[in-house]
Amino acid sequence: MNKQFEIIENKLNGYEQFKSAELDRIKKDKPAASSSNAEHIFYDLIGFLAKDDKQLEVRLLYYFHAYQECLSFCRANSMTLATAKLDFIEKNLLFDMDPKSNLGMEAIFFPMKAFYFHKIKKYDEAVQLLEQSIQRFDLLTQHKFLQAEDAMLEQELNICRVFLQSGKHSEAIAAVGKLTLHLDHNIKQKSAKENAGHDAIHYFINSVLHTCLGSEQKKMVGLFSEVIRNFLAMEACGGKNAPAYYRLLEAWLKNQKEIFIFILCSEMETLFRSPGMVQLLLIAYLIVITAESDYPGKMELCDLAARYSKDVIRIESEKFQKILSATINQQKVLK
Amino acid sequence: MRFKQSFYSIFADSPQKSDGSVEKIIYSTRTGMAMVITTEQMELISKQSFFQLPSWLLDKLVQGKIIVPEFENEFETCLQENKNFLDDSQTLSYTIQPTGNCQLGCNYCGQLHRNVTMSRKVMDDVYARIESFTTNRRFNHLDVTWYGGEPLMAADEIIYLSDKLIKLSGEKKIRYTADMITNGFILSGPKMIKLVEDCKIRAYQVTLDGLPEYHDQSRPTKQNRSSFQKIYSNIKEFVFSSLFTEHNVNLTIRLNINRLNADGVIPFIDFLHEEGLSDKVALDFQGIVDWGSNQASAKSFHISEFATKEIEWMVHGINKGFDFDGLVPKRQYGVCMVVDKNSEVYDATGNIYPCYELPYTPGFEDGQNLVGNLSKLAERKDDKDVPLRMWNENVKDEKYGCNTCTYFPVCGGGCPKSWYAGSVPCPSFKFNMDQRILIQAVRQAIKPQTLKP
Repeated sequence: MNKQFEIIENKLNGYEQFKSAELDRIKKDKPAASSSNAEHIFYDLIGFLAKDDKQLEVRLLYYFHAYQECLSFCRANSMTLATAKLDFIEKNLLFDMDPKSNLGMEAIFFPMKAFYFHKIKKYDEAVQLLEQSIQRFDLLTQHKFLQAEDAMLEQELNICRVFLQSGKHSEAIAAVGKLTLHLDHNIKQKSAKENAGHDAIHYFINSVLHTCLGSEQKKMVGLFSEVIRNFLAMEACGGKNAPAYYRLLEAWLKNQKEIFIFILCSEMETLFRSPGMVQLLLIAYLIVITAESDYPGKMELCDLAARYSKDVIRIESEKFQKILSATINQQKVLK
Repeated sequence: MRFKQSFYSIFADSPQKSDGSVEKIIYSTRTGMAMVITTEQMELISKQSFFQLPSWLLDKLVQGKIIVPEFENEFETCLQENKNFLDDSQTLSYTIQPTGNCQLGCNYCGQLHRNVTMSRKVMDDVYARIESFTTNRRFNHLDVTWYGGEPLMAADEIIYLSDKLIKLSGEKKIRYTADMITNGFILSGPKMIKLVEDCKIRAYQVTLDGLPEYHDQSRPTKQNRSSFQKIYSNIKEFVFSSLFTEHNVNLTIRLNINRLNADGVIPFIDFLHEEGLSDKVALDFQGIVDWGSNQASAKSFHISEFATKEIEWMVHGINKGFDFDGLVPKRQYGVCMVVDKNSEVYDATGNIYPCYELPYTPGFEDGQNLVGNLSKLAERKDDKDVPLRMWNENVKDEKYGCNTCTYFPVCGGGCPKSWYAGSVPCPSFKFNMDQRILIQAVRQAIKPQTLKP
């Protein structure tokens, strides 16, 4: 065990050298959109709906940017402005276009309104709206709008987020199960682009784990386990070419410390370079392992890991930082 | 659904291209967005022939609110947004004027200085008043401006009150920021460490009206002695100190300008440049206006004339390495603190005002805009009885012309106090926006995309 810790220590020391540049990148890397095209689904939709109709194009653009403005008010907690904008939209931007355009714009209007309801803590209404959006996208698939599949997954992810944030954990885990089922199906359909599938999994798992960080501290580990279990049950996570973090998460799930450390040592640079919550899990677990061990350099190792973690976590979640601080303090008491 | 070109969009010339051709810049005062377009595209927009424009441009024009629905009353929309913005504001903003005393006798100053400094009782009342606002959990930022008289003549009071307010911010978990408007006469000595580090005053505005031959004419001491040398040496020592650099302090030199000192502006810019201050300080050119009933604007330029000169000064300043933020203004949701019912001004006697130009000013200090006194809070006036507070209702009045002005979204209506006093406080950018946009375009060497405000 001590030998393995030495390797980790060396790796972490080496990591310090590229830390500053990498950290800047990681800080910006909140879970990014799964699609390689970072643009909003609307830009696919407008090409689909208003390909040869400039009049409709301007109208759809106007609707879309009104929705975006309402969202930005919500994000800034400017709820008076957001309420007024939503009121304006509902009174003036009617769904009285051709049926396909109505479907498309409703499909992106409902998630915006769901976010508004989520901000004012009307979670049930938010979930209903997200379900309506999925329904609209589903109908759009029948019109051969292929990108609707990805958009549906995004809304399923949003449902998970709303359940997690409203404390409805069993509903959240059920929603995660549904999401992974559809994600697996989606990836199989796009089997030619295997890497894109792993990118998508990475994005969705990080996004859900990221939302879990907002949960109560004592429930977080349980939530992590359930989420990871659901994702690892996907067929797409198997196979010899699967990214190392699946195996690492599996070891975490099964509490296989030796295997966890082995993967960590052999794949550390790759793992640390992949953005998102996976690193946080690794570091948290590393701290837990070292806290339990009699490794002589464990304090330095913990401090190093915690220092790195804090940099990442500062922008992610105060709660997670508290967990780490509590762990470190516990170790100091033990020492 | 039909669309129109927004009333709040303006065309300006873009810098000439190497082949001699000229492009256009379109700027939206509703969003502050500006972008380069071709002359053909400009014509299509002017003729409302939007459907002939390329998709990428339509997207930007709609996003920038340059293309808007025909049914929209844009003035009403902007005004309502301004009101809603105030309801959403998360910042508590206060101006504290802890003394009515000042060493200078500026010939355009409207205040009647007197030797009165905030007592411990008044300071505690100020604290209690601000604390009462912080109980609303919507607020996450407390911002204090120190002003006077000359605030540094009450440095002990600033230190006492800052300490309490910073502790309050810590307890309430809200951000604290502070700035100071000072004459700079005693902006020096060991107290600066306390002010910057402990009191967190990280932005200063000091007025110098040009080189000594100009400045000392308008801003002498009360004993009619020169003040330039002392103020300038304080500024120089401060901006080159490690205290200034390490705490990212900002210092703005304001020039109050009329026909008497306008010729001295460019030599003064050259002087600051030669002294190495180009990248240390910001410059702010302001026309001299009436303050109270002092007729200070008698020798002032008309605002359109001032705007022309301002561009010359800005271009000269930019060439000498000075930066000018806000050259092309952004959307302005609130004209100033007077319309924000959570913002107040406190003078040394505990009087409450909506505007910091009212205290110590004959004709204003006891007038209809005096809200009340901290010692008699129960007797204070309602906002509706304080005319300045009601500006967002009155700005609709056609006599001000704001309802038909293209610049309303980036101006908010100008200084309400001046309107009510019978002046026309339109901003200089109303008369030099073309050139401002052009300067910004040259500075950014922009491509056919958005221009940063």
